[in-house]
Amino acid sequence: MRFGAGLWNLQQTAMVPRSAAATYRGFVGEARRLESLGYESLWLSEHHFFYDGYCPAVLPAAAAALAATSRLRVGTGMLLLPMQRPERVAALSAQLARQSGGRFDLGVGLGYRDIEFDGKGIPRTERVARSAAGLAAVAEIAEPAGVKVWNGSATPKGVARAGARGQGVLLSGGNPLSLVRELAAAHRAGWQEAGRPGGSRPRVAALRNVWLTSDRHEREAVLEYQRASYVLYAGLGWSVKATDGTEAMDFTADVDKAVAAAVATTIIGDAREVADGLREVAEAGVDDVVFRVMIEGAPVGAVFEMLGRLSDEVLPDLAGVEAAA
Amino acid sequence: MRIGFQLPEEQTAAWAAEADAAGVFALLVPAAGGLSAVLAPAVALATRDARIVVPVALGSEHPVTLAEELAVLDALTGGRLVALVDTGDLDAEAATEDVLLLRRALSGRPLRHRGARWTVPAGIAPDVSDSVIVTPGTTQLELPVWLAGRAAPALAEATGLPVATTDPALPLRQDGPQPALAVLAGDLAADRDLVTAWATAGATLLLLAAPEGAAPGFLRDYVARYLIPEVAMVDFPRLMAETAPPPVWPGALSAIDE
Repeated sequence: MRFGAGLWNLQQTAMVPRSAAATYRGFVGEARRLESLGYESLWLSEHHFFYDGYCPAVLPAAAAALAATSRLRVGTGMLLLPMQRPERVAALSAQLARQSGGRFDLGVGLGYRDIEFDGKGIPRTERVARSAAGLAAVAEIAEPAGVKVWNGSATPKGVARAGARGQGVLLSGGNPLSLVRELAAAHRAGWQEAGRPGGSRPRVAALRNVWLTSDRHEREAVLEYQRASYVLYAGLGWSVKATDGTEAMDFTADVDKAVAAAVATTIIGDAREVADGLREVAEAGVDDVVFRVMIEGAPVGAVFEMLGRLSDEVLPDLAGVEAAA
Repeated sequence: MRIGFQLPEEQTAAWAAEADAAGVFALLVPAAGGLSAVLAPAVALATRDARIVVPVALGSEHPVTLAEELAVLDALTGGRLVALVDTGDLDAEAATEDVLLLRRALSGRPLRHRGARWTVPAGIAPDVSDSVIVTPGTTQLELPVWLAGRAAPALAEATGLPVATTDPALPLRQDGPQPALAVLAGDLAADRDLVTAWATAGATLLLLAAPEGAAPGFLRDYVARYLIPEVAMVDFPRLMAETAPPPVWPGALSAIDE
């Protein structure tokens, strides 16, 4: 099992006001700190036209983090591919791989906010076709340069298509473990049914809400911050479709219920409880975990202090843990 | 006239750090076939004070997307960014629409655009807002936009924006910024004439390219020592640059506390 952290949205919010310049300056320092703690990867995320400056251009941001570090992998989780020119995304990604010694992970997603498509003059109905065209350009230009491609999807069909291309998936942190299990299986099946492209099975990474603490007050604070962080999804209008084994999580229809369901995914406790929680994630078919710790308002110092303890006290025990087949 | 430097594609960040330490005013990021958006961040991290001029290829993306990229780069540079917009293959009319949309997107105002090339918002989805605001806003009060490329002169007329020029014989603007680009010969007399000619013609910032074979140290020992002073006053007393430098301080301390 490998470990990273995310998501860096690079916001300036109503609850945590700051300047955009301070946000990006902080981000560069945070990338260095994450690397020094031994984590494998850092993940960014993209949105458009949101009041808080939510990063609309993840490739320049990734370039900064890569330039500031020497071992850390930097990924987009996700870059919204249908809204951009595919050849340009592919060429910029290839350059990032070249100038970082192959440390760039290109995670691509479809996007879901109407206003974002509309602001770029793109009918949302075209998003799947545009994504396919984008992935073709990425396969031709970016992957040969050493860019590793990940897909963001929360439907069995979507992850199966990624598996069939021989590409990894990064699953959302809000997904209950039952859905993670279902998606990991669909990804694996998609890869197998396509004749195992690439030879070795592409990885399943999952964002998970994780916090190591034995302190009751810290525990309460963390869960409260997570609740607040998921209110963002209500603002953005995010939802997870229902599948055979999992109820829908609709932040637009019932905010409180959806937020509660997302917060309930949290693995929180002492070293043993967190290790057990992460083993359960591996048993659901997950190869790599991206800790969803950059939650709005949580003091950055506390986040990194916790990441340091997690790296010292828990992660070494999980080095040999592998995703269940 | 200020002196800037055109960064080479190789060792870009190392050249940038040296230029910044030597007080070079502005650095032009290599266009590198449209890849400057991911080259500029390393230049930003290697410098603290220099303005960072980033080439933007019109026609390569939706102007709103280019504006978003510039806003992020402006934040990453702490407000030191300048956009050098190249008209590429676009004709004057198309380039004018793209630049107007780009600048409106960077203005922080609600954006609603109806043009021959672009409609923002497109009005495709039902029940969405009739305008959008590009975020984050620029770190600077207003992002400087300079023009380059075939349609630049016509575009300058339509927009009033400065054109980065390479020909000192053409009439230069005598008010507002007037950027220019030139290549150094590596011969002191010729290079002094070059920078003086540009300063006399009315350029306000000259972005110099290194002569072949130069190493980064040339920015301190040549550009900063001879050329920046040459155009910083009328009739610069060259003795100031030509006298023997003071001996190295015992322990090789730098003259400036970093």
